[in-house]
Amino acid sequence: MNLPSDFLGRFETARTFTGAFAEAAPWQRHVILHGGKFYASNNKQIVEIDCGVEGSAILTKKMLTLIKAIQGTPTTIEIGEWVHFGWENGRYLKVKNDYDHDDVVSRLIELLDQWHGTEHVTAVDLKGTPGRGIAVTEGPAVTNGALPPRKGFLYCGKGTPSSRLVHGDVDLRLDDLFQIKLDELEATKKAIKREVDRLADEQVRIEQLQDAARKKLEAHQRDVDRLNEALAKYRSGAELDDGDRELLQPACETTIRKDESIERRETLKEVKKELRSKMGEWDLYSDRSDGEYAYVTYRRRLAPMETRPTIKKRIAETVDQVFAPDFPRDALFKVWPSLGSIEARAGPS
Amino acid sequence: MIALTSEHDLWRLFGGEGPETQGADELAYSDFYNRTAVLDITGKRAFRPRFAVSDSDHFYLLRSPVIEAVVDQARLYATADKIGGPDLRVVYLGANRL
Repeated sequence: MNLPSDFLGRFETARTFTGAFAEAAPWQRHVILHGGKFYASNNKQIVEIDCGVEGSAILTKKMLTLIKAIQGTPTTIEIGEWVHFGWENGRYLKVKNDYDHDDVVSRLIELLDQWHGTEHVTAVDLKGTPGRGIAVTEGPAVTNGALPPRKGFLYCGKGTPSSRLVHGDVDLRLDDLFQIKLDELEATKKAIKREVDRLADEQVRIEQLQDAARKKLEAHQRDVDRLNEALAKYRSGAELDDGDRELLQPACETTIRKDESIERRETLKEVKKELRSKMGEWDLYSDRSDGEYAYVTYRRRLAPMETRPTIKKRIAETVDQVFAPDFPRDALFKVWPSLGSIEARAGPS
Repeated sequence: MIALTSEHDLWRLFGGEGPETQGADELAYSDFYNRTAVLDITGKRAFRPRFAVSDSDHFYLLRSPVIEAVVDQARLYATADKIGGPDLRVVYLGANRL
């Protein structure tokens, strides 16, 4: 078909409303052509501009750059698997059409239909270009029973719903507070399952240790039997070899350890005495010695931490908004996935 | 080695019968560029096209996996530069695209 004379101009106008790459909306770098209109959004603004060309295509900045590089004005356009611009003297530009954005277009149209012309958004000045556009405005989360777009139309800027709730930066239209709770329960369930698996592994390890201990006991019994044999030899007046003598010689390990322990405690006492004057207001928490080194731990109580109570208060204040008796719960049913799966119904009569 | 003395000799690189007819060979654009470039120690790129091109009566097909363009000789380098990519190939189409 012939390219409408103002097609490229309107494409450039639409391009001014595209945004930088965003993980939540990678398509927003481009203009979407669908059903005779251009669509573009940078999350804070959405525009729909008449372009007079049917079909569906993704129009990129590179396309515009190439049209300018080829020079002259294209006179035809065909949209299919490729987007094809034709010039009068047989020159053309064909770019693979990556359109797969029906869902995005539906969402943009839905938002435009819902908010365009309302008090909750600002109308975008398209400077005479036929179409419509909306921009987010500052204001309270709930206005006249509606949840207007505040941080963005399609996604919040940074972080996760949970981190935004903690930092007092939620957008009630985009951040599903109950989903955060559902996700937390799911995470706890996974942690418990991991603990069950860990304990099963631990059980196997303990069984292996029990087997090893039983074998050790059997080996020890063999030592006792050998000792009795050596004793019998001694009693009979027979010649004892080195092995027999070693078996019969007491080790006295218990008593030696007891005496070592006394020595260690004495040394530790001296170390603690030396430290006491240096540690000022620090409290002695624990001490021990392994015979080679002394380990002494001191501790001091810190001022109570303020982070947790501050955040807890902030969370409660935010969530209390949706618990308020006059809060328009119906507004949440439409936007929060956690409530979307539950049929909206009247409360108890 | 084909001797190139002006932009009107570029068609010779494509093995055609003359400047008005389509070339027989398709070239990798990087190969075509290197054969028509000279060292430029002052520019951003190490090599620049040897000739300033202004002929708008002869045409080339530039083709990459996702972009295809027919351009006149005057816009050949500028358009190819914007398409970019190692897979870009070029075909000489001759004259009379009308």
